[in-house]
Amino acid sequence: MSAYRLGAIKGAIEKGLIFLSGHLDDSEKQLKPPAELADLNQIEKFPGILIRSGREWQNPSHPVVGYADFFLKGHFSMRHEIEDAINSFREAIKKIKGVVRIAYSFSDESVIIWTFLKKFNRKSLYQIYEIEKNVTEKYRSITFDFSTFFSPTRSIPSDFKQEELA
Amino acid sequence: MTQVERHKNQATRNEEFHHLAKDNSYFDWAAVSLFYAALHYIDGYFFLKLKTRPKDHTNRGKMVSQVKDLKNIYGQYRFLFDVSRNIRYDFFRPSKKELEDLYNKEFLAVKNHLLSLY
Repeated sequence: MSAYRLGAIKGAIEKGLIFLSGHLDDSEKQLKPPAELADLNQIEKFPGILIRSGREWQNPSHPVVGYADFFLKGHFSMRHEIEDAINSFREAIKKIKGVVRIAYSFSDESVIIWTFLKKFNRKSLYQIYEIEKNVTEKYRSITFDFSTFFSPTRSIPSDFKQEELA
Repeated sequence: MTQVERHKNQATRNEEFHHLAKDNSYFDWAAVSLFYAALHYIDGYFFLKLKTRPKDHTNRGKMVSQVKDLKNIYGQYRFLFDVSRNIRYDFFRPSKKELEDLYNKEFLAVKNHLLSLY
């Protein structure tokens, strides 16, 4: 089992979103799911999904495994990674002179980030691009769509979140 | 004419239009044409080396930032992109000096780098 999958499953168990049951292999046992959640009889009491090991786990086309993969990659691990990337970008960008706010929107494996400058400034722009490069390099599985605007009051689409930085 | 030659030809035409627009004081469109000239040099490179072309601006930006040969012109490419976008949608008007800087510092850096890779 990959470190990626182990991490994702561990996080999901901690949030009570998935349960492990059946025969667990050595790496799965290290996850130490709460005993009461490992009991098949308890499953209906909790929202979420069941991941079983053994034959079902080995079969990627099994609906349980397929749903688990979809859930873990699309709705847990990637969202966490995208939020982490946005936080990382924000912390770096707010130190740049003239940056007044950022706005962003994300879905699945992509994120749109807009940075707003007080006015056109060559030096600040190149500092922003350096941060973009670092974030892109660090979070390679995410597709970033960066733009910088030279107007602090520029409007944003209704589905964007925005944060004032100055 | 090959696909790569078509990209280079379009890049040259866009650069020629840049000079025409600049000479007639349309500094905004002179700047926009530099971005599209740079774009065609980049797309020509992708076709030559990878036999593909970016599907949109997002994909192109990602490829420029991650392809080893192009990483060091990411800043200049992004600069041209942002200036072009701010002109087209947000009324940004570069001064003559800013336009000349854009040509000398960003556009020529992208053009010369790409031509050295062809």
